[in-house]
Amino acid sequence: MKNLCQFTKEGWEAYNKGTPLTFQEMKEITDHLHTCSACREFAYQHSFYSLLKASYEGDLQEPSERFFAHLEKKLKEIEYYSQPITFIEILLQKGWKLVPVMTVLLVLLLGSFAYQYENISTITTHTPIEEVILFEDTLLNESHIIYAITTEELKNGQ
Amino acid sequence: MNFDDHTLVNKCLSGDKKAFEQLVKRHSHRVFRTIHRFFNDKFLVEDIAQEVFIKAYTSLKTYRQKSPFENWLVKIAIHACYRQLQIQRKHRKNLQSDIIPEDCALLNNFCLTSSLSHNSNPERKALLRELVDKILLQLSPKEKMVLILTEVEGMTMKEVSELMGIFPLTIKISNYRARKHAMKIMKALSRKDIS
Repeated sequence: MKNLCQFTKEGWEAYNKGTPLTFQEMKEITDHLHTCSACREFAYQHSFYSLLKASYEGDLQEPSERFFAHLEKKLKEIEYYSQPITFIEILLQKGWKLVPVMTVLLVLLLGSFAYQYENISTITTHTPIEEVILFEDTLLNESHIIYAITTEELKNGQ
Repeated sequence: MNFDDHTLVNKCLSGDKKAFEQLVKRHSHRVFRTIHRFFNDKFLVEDIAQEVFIKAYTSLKTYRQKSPFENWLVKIAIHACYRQLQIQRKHRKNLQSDIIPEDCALLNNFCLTSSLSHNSNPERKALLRELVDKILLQLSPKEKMVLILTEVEGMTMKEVSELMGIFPLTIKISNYRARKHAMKIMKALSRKDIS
């Protein structure tokens, strides 16, 4: 048994160094490895590097067209976002946040205008001025309206 | 026109974006190959490669042009892979459970029979790669990285040290630990399985 272990180890090492084994030698070694735990341990440990190399050799992943297209898109995005931003761009990008505030302000402004317009039109349409009392400033040679009598007041004899 | 890397970098820095595209096309194979050594997932490899080129693009000003551009890219790729390995390690709690009985049978087949006869079947290679990934997942990210760079990529300790930005002595220690750890795993697997 000891001789067979020795033979297996020597044969294994010789094979790993590049010495070819005959079919009979290979068979003897593999048969022995299935039965001897010490030699199996040796074989497992010594085959790690060949396992490592065998698994990594050969096919490698190549970059796909999809990869290049995606990378180009990403780089363009980076380029775009790395450029200094102008005030108009800020407004265009962030302006939507001001929309509610601006809407409220606009409604208030329009409401205020509408209220004033209504008062002005009430005076002009419903209370026409009939008579104007003028105050004559002799020193400055100017005249100022001091009171305007409306139609209603004239009717009531005020 | 075929410009050298340094000319393309200078062109890119002066605003020529097409120059960077040329650099990407020229070096993408090397970057993919490096990342593929650590990860077997196609989409993950693409994601990391994209991260690498974006990082290169945004920090192109920091490239000193003393070393080749490809080395600089590989360095970025190695760091990105290392970060990803750390994330993977953090999210996996029970590492032993990853190796299933089928894996043990495959390992048994390889160690006791197939390693004595070269077999280049692509399907078998894919299975072996999965198995090796599972074994290497039990190593720490640093150990895995050092082992792959030295054993698979064939780099020297000094090169690995420069790439990872770690002292050569630390790399030597990591390499020793990685080998020891790998042997321990293989020993444990040899005891675990025999069909």
